[in-house]
Amino acid sequence: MLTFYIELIKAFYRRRTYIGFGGYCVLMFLMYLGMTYSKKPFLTRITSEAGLNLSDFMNGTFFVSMALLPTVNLLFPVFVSLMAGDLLAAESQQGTLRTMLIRPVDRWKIILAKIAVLQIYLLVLCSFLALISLLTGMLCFGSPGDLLVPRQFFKLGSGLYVYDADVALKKLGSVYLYVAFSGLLLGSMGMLVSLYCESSAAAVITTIVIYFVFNILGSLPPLEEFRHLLFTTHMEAWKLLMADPVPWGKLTRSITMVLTFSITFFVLTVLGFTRKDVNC
Amino acid sequence: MNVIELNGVSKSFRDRVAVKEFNLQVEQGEVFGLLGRNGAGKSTTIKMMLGLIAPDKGNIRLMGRDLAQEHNRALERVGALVERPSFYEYLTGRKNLQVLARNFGSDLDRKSDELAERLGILNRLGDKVSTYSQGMRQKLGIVLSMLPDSRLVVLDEPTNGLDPQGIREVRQFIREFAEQGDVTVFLSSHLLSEVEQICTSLAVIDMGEVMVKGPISEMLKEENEVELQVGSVTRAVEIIQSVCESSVSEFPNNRLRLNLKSISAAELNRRLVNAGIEVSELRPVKRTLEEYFLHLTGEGSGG
Repeated sequence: MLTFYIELIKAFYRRRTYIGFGGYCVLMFLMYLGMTYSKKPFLTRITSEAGLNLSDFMNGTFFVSMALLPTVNLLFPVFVSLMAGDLLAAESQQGTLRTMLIRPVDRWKIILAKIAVLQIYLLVLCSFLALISLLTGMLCFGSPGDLLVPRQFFKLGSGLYVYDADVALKKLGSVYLYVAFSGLLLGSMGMLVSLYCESSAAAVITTIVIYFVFNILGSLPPLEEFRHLLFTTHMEAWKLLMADPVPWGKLTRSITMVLTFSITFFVLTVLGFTRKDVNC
Repeated sequence: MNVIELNGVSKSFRDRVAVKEFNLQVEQGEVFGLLGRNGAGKSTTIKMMLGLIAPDKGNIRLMGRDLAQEHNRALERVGALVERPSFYEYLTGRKNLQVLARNFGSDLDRKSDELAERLGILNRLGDKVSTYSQGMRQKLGIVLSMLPDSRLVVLDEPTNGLDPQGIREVRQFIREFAEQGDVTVFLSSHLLSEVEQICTSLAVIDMGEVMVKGPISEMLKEENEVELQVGSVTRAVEIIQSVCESSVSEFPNNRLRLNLKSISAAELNRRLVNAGIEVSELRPVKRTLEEYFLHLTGEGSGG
């Protein structure tokens, strides 16, 4: 517990930890501008094809669902990588790892405490993201209402889903929960990468590059049959929660894969860290 | 009791041998100095002693416990400052001490205050470390090494980055700390005068190998050598050689140096004065650690 408490202090006293929160606030403003001033031809077309009126669905919940794609797909991996890189490589770079390891403490406990702190950070970040997008949506587009889900946006085929407001909020809540959980995979991979990088910048950039390369590989048609092997596929499984009905079999498989990848990266990090010469 | 024991410890980085077959015993209460040039293997030895890097060969025992097998118990009462002092810049000095000493008790705060006051940084403990000068960081590192209740303190170049007054303060502080009796200080430095002033024993390391080790007093033991200043050098040499078989070295300003073998300094003085030779100075020659070290590493042979 002491090691965990120490890691908590180190993570949450640092100003850099809050970059993600600031970044999301800026993004919410840009999203608001985009949704207010763009013509939205695709959305207008598919809603009219379904005999619906898009303006009826411009509400707080719709804003939250639209905010998911850029935040979760683009910003979230960056912030998770930043945090993971800071947890180990930055300590190595600054020499505090050396000062810390002089004391009687098991190295595996340090990694475990760092992973636990990372998970708390992800939960706080996702809760903040959910809250700030809902607040922005309510302020700019009115209170939460029925949710319109263009299936194409979430790789769920074509057409639309329409959910009641209370179902929509539950779905969005579970999406954020899944995102926070799946972030652990990227975070533990970032920790493994940062174990072998003496600079935090190198660790962060390498993690981000790996994430986006795998993401691109997953979208290439010739690699379709190998998609289930890529960790990014399972990180993206939150999109399944937007379907009706939710494909629970697929989702359970992805949850298992996220856990398997996370535990593997964690074990590799612990093994590497316990054998590492701290010569910096 | 041996507080530190290194038995045949070796470490290489790729093809470069950093430390070779290092054997060392440091007893409780000693102030031990590890002396060597830059790159001699001092820091590698210290890092192995603290479990930061694993030796390729040999074993290390701290406080009687095997470091590889009982890592945590061996390091239980060990504090250290290795290379440069590293802290969390965004935390205050006090928070850094708590976090890095892994102790949030009031006893730690009390002891931190006491040590920080003696080193003159108490009034800055509440400030963020990012505002500290290099000297203040060094002092904070020394305070940390003694917390919460270290019985073995390992200090790697402890006066790095300090001004002359700070160096004096820190040396005095370490000496006083070591005088507590049951604490052991292991200090590495390339500053000969520092080791000479603070330590009781030392080992000299070069190219990863121990060249010599033992009590400093033994190394600097006077060999009955005297230096004298006389009125007439030629006559003085004649008389000296007639009364003892020592070879005499001549130096500028009518100075002579010889090793007394069969005669005391007082007797030599009496004989010279009786022979009408004016003796304006006669004193024992005291070897410095610097002379000893340079002699040992071969750097003094040319001079």
